[in-house]
Amino acid sequence: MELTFQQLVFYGFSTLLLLSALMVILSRNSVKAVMFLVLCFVATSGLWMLLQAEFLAVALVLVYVGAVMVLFLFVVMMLDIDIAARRHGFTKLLPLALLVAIAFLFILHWLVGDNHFGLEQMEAPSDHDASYSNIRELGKMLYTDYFYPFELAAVILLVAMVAAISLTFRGKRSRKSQDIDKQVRVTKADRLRVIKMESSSSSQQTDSKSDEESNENKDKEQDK
Amino acid sequence: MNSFDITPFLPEVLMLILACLVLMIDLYSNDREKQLCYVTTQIGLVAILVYLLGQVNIEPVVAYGGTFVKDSLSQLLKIGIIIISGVSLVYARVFIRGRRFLRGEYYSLTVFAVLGMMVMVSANHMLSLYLGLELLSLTLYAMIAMERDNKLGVEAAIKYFVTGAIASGFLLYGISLLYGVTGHLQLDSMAKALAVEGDFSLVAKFAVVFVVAGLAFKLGLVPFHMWLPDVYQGAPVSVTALIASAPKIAGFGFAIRLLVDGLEPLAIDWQQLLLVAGIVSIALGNLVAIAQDNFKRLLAYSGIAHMGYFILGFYAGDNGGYAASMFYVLAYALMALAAFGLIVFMSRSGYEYETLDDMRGLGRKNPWYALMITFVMVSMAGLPPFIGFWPKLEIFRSLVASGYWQLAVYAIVFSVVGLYYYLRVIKVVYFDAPEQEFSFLPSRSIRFAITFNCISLLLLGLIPDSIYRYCLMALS
Amino acid sequence: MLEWFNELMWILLKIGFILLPLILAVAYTTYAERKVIGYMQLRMGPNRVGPKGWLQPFADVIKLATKEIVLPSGANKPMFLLGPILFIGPSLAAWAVIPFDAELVLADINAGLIYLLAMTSIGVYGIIIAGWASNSKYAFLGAMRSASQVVSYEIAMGFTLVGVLMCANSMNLGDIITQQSGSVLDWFFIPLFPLLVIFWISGVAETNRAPFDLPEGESEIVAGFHVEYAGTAFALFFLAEYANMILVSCLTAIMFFGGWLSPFQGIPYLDAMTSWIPGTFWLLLKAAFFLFGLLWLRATFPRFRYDQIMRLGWKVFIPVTIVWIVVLAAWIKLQWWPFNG
Repeated sequence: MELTFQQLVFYGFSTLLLLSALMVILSRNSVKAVMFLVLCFVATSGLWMLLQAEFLAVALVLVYVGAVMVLFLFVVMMLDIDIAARRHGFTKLLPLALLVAIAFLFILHWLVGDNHFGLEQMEAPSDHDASYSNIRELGKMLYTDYFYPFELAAVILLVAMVAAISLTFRGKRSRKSQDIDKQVRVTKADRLRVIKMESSSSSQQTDSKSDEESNENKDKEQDK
Repeated sequence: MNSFDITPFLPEVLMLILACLVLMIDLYSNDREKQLCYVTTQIGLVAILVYLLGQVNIEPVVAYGGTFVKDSLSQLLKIGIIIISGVSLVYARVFIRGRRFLRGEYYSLTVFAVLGMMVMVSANHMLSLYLGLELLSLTLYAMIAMERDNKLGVEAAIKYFVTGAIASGFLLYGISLLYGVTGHLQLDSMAKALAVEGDFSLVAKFAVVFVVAGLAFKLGLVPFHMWLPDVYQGAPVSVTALIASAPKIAGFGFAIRLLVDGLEPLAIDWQQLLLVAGIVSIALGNLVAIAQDNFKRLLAYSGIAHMGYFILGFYAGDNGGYAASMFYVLAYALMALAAFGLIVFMSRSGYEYETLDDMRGLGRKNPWYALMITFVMVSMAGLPPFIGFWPKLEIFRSLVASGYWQLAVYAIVFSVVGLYYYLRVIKVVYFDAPEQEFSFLPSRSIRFAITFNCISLLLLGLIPDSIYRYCLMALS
Repeated sequence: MLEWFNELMWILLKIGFILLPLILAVAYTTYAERKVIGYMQLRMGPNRVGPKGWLQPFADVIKLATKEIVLPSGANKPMFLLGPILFIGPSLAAWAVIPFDAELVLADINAGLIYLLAMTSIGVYGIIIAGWASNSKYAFLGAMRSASQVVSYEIAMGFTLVGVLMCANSMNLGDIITQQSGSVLDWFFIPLFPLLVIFWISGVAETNRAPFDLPEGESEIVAGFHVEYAGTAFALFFLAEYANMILVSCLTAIMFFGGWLSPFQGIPYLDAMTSWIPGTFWLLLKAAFFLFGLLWLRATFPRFRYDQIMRLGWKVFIPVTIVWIVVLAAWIKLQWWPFNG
């Protein structure tokens, strides 16, 4: 069977996706697990690209890989989890879990596999012509037919923001912090004072005296 | 789309504006009591309520690309949700002040939750249905964890969050399969597509299993009930009063929209699933509740049992059954609100009378509130003439009318079992010797609200037709 | 079979055509940086290797290439080596969508703009992984600083690009440039001036350049995330940083200054006289100007304090961009838009 280039790409990304998904749950190091999850997203994005959904594919990378997973990685790096210790006792349930998983896999294969969603039942989606713009179509859909769910999603994000802040913000504490606006507004006149000094023609004594005075003045300035 | 008609979802828009307004007021007012936030919230809720009351009996309107529907059912459910949530805020105000988490966000999050529920009950599309559910859940997760120094609360929030996420996963998986089968996400088109017998009926049945499992998670039906007692116990009681009441109404709306509007052709499949869940819930809820010493957990298990009765109305499978379910859920929301409202009321800062032992001898010290507790318990047990009796009766009647008399007998037997623990509460309150002085939240508004709430259980029970008539109308 | 092999070879060749000049450009950017800063500080800069020091970059490369890559004890070896690769990969991949002239672009994709954003945001993994895998406090601190800085400024940068998108009605970089054709007055820097300023400064912050070079603030945390790297591994970081600088300069030219369009467009005689000059020249000229700006910044400004950086990003840039986008939307919607019909 001759593989087309698309098929090659498809199988390549699919294999990558499955392997990295497996590694997410199998790797012992949580940072590595996160990195495999990132790889998962990248592979998925490749698959979407094959569906000519280039905007979605790139947005997936931008949002999940570029933003969400970075924050996730932050948190995971800060945590000190000994996964091996956590796994202790996990293996006891493994046979049962495997049984359920395999049974589920078979059911899925039977129901969602080829005999229901194969090429005989469902036609392969036809390719779009070159003028098709994924972004334009998506934008039209979102802002006309689906504007209500779209707005709802926005409200959910707003709620997430409000909730996160209300759960973590503990009010103003009396702490010493710089008020940057005040710092920026400072002018030369606030910080610097030019002091008239006697010229060198006067005696040595008065000179040093005035020096001391100006030093004192400076100290006072700083205290303020 | 040149002329855009905002009127169908005007209440939702107003609710969103209200939520944002409360947020802004909270930001700019220096009031530590957040009085202005509270007043704004209540005025806003009442205004929207009045607007909704003006148009109860209307022709169904499907709008916004089929994602939204406005009919009598949605209007009625929204009215119920707003009333219940508003009263729960009356309970909450003094309580959260004593617990030091009086923050404007409490009010705005409640309004967001109400918005989520309103979206759920008037959804005509899988997307809006799901997004409404998520909006509701997200606000509730946050509200449960709001009392940050309370470890139980945080634990409850995590449990609720994890189970909620799993439930959403189930639901979404089911929905995605249904989309694969029918090619539609709009509920009525989905029903039409499913009505045509095709190659995919097996896949559709498989999808129904996931959808029903997700629904059962959210409603707290056995075997997906594990989170419920912990959440009810761990969450701040004022939040529990909200969780236990209004979202159940939204859950009914969700179930009606999803199962009846969207999956009507597969009724046989989901009815069987719901039947099993209902039967087990009734048995487990009632039996386990007997063993509870904590009043909140007792109410949680009784809630599981109530949800079991409620879901049996769906098994009857006709409009009478659905109307009975709707009546049931409205009555239950009112009762649960009263019950948790009483726990809110019976608290001081830092202490709640939450175990049954705490309530010993309340009848001798505070006969009036003991009477209120009695009202709630008797109503929950389902004795006439209280409101709790009539929907149960309607459920039994519709079951018998559909020919499932064995089921009705089973439900009645477990109602009698349930009677035991409700009466036990009354016994503890009246017949045990008092061990302590009771002191309650010093607030006139909450005292008034709680009295009003409990007495309404009796009054509405005396004229049961007042609600049921509307339920029948909404579902006819 | 042979067809794709040919196609593959052709693509690889094109990639080579972009990357080789790029790497050469990077080499001479380092030289230019030292010279420019040197002259600004009244020094000579490198002048020993070759005539006027022109061979200095090659000396540097040979030095770095022959050094040992030291693996710190306790470091996570695969991750440690993955870090530099993850850093340089995206910064080179981003060049795929840069149009050098009307038809001169490797990948002419519709989502070019968002692809660029995605690539710049992936680069942060290299930094985090490098800092974490080094098993060193300084490296880790530097990585944390860098990552939070990049993530913060990415938002502002993304918003500025939304403004560009609104003006150009396209995410394709080639279309964005052709939308600016007409004359200098049609370039986007006029209507989008606030966004240009923010884009430019965010670009400096994204590339971790002075005055935003906190991640490698040598006075506090030695050299930041790459403190444990030596030899070629370090060279990769170095290469990626300078490639990013050139990229940001090119992007500024493309988004706001008409990319490969001639500045004399629309001027009767000058236009005809200079029409023989290829567009690539104009693009590179504009990019070189902004690159010089980057070096100038480094020579002029002291380093920011950390909280100031975060404040600038979150409390100044993001609100300003959002406001400007709203203003822009109102302009376009109300048809008061004087540009591009």
